[in-house]
Amino acid sequence: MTSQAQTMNTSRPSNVATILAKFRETGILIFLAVLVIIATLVERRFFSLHNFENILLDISILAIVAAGETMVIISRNIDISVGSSLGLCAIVVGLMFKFNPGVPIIVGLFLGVLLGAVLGSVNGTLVTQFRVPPLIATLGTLSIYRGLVFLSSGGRQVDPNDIPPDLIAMARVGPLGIPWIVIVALLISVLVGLFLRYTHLGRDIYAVGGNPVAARLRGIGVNRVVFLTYLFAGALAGLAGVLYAGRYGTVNPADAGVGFELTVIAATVIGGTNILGGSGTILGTVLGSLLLGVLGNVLAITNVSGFYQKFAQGLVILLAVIIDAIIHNQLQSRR
Amino acid sequence: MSEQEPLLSVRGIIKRFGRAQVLTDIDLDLYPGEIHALVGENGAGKSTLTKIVSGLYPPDGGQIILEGKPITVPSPAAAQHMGIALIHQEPLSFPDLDVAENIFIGRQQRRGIAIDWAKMYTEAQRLLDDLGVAIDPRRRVRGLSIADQQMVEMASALSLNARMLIMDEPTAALTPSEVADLFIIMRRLRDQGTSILFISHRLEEVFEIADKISVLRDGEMVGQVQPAASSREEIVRMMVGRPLSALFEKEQMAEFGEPRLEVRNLTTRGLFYDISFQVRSGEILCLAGLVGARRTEVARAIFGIDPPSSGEIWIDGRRVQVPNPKIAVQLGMAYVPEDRQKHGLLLPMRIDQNMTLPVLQEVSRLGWLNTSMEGQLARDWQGKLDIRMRGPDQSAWELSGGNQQKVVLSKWLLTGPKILILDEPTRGVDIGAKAEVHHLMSELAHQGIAILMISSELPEVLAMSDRILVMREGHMMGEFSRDEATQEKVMAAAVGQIQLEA
Repeated sequence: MTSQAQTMNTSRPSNVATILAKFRETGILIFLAVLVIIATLVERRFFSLHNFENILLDISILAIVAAGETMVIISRNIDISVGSSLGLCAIVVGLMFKFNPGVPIIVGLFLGVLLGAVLGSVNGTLVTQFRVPPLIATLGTLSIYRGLVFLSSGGRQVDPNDIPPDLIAMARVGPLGIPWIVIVALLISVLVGLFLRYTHLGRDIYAVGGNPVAARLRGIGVNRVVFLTYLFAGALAGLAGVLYAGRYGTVNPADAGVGFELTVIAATVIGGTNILGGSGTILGTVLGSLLLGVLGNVLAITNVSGFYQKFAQGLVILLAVIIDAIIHNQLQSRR
Repeated sequence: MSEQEPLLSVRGIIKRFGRAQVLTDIDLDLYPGEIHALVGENGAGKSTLTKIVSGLYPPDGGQIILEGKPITVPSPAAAQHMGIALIHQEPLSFPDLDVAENIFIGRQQRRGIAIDWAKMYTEAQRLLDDLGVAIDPRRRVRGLSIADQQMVEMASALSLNARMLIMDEPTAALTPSEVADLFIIMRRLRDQGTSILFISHRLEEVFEIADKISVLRDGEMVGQVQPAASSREEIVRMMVGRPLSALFEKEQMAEFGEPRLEVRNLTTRGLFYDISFQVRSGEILCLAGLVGARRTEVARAIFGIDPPSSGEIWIDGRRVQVPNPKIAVQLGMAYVPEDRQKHGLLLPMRIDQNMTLPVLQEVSRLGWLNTSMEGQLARDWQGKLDIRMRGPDQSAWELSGGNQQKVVLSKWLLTGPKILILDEPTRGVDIGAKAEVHHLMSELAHQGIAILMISSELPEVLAMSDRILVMREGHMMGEFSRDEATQEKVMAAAVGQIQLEA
């Protein structure tokens, strides 16, 4: 401890974290640009309005869920149940529409958000009240929520003709030709970004993740903050679940949101959120989602086997984190 | 001196941890516009008292009175809102947030519900300017020096209009010029009417800055003096002036053997410098000093955990290299660390498995552990050291502190060491087990083991050592033989006051 104190004393005021954050966002943009250029050269169809719309539709649901995950990870926790939460909200809302035809879609959206918030609250309660380690708590609910997906649906999927056409249209039409789902994702990202930057609660999330002990001493209700981040993450997963039903026009219990938590965490980490808590931005997460979306699209459109998609995604995650570590170490040792 | 009302008074404060009484009937008055120093040995209760006043611990008895009104301080946040702020020795900051937010976190300036960053930066800049420090409020705290982080904490306290600053060893991690800067700021705050409670081990600093000095010893308030009407000698006497209790005394030996362990000019830059001593067979040499004297660092260097940057280690008259603890064990050394729960024991593991960790080779056949042999060894040592345990299969965490220490000791004695390094061997151990550990140390010395003991407890140092080496902030301050050592002499050297006429 003392030796650290000594080296810190002699350090010049370098600003590792700031440099890293700036590097990360421009880094992703450069990577994206390179990808786009290569993809365009290889496959003309890539560079088209239609394809870009496809990419945006693909990443909208991802970006919404990842915004919630970003908050959870900044607070030094993790939620791996978001995929199951998405699935459960999608199936429950789908069934609601099936048995109550003619219900306005706003009711469905509201129900999805509410149910998601409840599922998130369960996670938050497990972590803050029962002191279950976050990974284990949400591993448990990942399985429980997935089980509920099958139980509530009897294993049967919700068919396209059970889903209101208005909801399906959200993935097709919208103002200025931009589908409503994309607008909602953009809106959520902006709102969460502003929330994290400009509200006390938002800043408290950073404080809790950066130094929980100091946060408590400064009078911040650490448990309350952590509970709320889980609640928000659940609510956003719920919203995403309803949009999922609209986007794909069908909800299959066996694959709605299965494994999605990994893509969500990947987007968050690629976007520069520190998996150990304390730092991260929504802009980064949106760029991380975009990168994964473009990558997936490029591989699909150039007819690379789907098997490579997971492989490439893993490489990008490791690459991003390794480059971070290298830069971090170099900045540290240059003192 | 002053006719004013005290800003904050404590009356009859009592604090117990378990059965140990750490504070007894503490009275203290702190006036506005004064710097009040609190001094005492390690464990005298200084930090506990500050933690009670700043809301970290509830007292078990007594009253805290703020401006004439009795108050309770349920939490540090509550204390801050009453104007009482604690500045930590190692500042508690948010490394990834910028300076301004570290100052204002939890109560950032807002316009409507939105945080007004521009105003927050302006305010932070003003506070930092008031303190006279050049720190950019927009930079992140990660990478700031400890001194600068302290300034950020001070600015945070001032932003809450703190009238009472409690500074727990703020100078311990600072360079001399940083200390000078800090003192300038402390004086300015005092002149503006702030009351400062200042804790330091460095008596010269205390005399330089304090208006009053209160001395704690063994959880009791010994007295209060004015620096101008006192002397360092008087303070040292007050700090240690206890009657020597009847501790177990090391059995004297007529003759020590050959030098077993010798170190020459051991140095690790930034930690300790030019440490030289030798320990002979049958001798107990004690490294005495206060927290921050870097004694543990020296022990870790000798044992190869953090090899030194220069200097020589000799064992039995042969120069050796100790690049890692494995080599140290092969050379016949054993090291019982200070924090046995963290470094000495694997708490959830069985007692016998804990004991045999350093000698796994000897209790295994063809790479497979002989578990019945492990159990047998544990029972042997249970008898030898009188360890109170149900059986070898009990988990280490179920034992009392004293018995845990005996398990750690037997673990290392199993390696048959010639040199035993004991770091605070009786810390947190009750009085009965303490005597047993002391008895055992004496016996081991008698068997010809050379013992290097680190202890912060003066009575223990005086009772058990054949020679005493005093360190202060990484430097050797003096060496005393058993006959010439007194509590006053050792303490005087430990606080940096070498010449003291006894």
